[in-house]
Amino acid sequence: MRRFKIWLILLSVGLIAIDKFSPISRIRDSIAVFLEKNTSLLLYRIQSYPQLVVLKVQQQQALASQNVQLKKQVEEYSLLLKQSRNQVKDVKLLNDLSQKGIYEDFSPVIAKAVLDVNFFVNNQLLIDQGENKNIQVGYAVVNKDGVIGQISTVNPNSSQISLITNPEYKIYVEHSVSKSKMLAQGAGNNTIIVKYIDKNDKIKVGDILETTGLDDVYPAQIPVARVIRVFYENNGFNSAVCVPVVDFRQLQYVSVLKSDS
Amino acid sequence: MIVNNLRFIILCTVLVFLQFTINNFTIFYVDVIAILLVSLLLRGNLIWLQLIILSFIGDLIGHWYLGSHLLAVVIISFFTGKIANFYRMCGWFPRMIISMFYFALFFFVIYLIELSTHRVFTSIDSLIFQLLVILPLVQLVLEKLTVRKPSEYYF
Repeated sequence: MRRFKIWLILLSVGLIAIDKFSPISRIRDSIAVFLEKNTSLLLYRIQSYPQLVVLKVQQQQALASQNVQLKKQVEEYSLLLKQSRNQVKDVKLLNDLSQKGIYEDFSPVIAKAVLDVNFFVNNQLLIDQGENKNIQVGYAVVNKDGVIGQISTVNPNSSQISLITNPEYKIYVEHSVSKSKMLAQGAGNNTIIVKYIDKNDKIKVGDILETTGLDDVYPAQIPVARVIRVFYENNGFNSAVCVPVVDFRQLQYVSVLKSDS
Repeated sequence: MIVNNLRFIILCTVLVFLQFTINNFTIFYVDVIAILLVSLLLRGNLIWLQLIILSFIGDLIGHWYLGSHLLAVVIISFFTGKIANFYRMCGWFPRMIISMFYFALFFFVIYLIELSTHRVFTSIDSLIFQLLVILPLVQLVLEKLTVRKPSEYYF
């Protein structure tokens, strides 16, 4: 047994010597280093994964909230830009209209519409010009699209407009094609009703009703309303339901027409 | 016999995996196979082929040169011949103390071999960790695995 052990010792010493002075140990070492490196990397990944996930989630949440805020800002700015462009365009168009002499015998005053739901409910509109611009009750208010209404109340720095859809408001209109005259009255709920239309007047849905220019309030041939329904009433006349050509909810600037006469 | 050898192979595989994990994922550099070698040596039921294979496995999965474990085991075996009978009769605590002593001796031999080959991986921290944690664990597993008969212990 002792002999066997001595042989074993000699064998192991020889193996150690061979291993030390041959490339075997280097190969083993390189394999060991490779394994250690990869396992360390794996361990690092496993350890850092929860942090990475949490960080990602937090970053995503922060980015999402920032994104929402930025989107809101962009929407606000785009709306402001659009409004500003529309305002510039409106003012330019209104100025062009007055320069082209469409509003003959009228001197226009440009005012900004103050959109307020409370006024719309009562079929009224507020503008930012009043006595300071010599605006008086009864002056016509139009924009590039058509008739809006008439000044009903004047304050020092603002005025109220009675819209053409106001049930207490009446306007003398004519058919744009046949030129037949008729009286339109506001019916509320953004509609205007025209009664006592002669059955011979060929009014149909989609026709435009214009101002006549005979009432000394509005210039002639300014669009007032568009016919949306024509029906027969039992009194021998036709009636027509119309909507204003002007979209009151998107008003920017209006022109108050002061009659020179 | 096949079943017992199978159990032993499974134990060795688990220990190899344990050593690999500890060496790669902790600051310690342990030699679990050496603990197993010392325990087997102390039990006295020596199968030299088993010891040689195990010592080569121990060399291969660590950074030791081939033959280091074998040399250490053979040197230690000169001192374990007489204590094997006493070791068999002891309870778990004296066994552990004896195992600790012989493992420390084994560790010292390995350290000398490392010094002579200019390649040292052992450290006091690792030695303490092995003595206080790994060795009792391996001893416990061996106690549970072995089937005791009046005169012999085998896997």
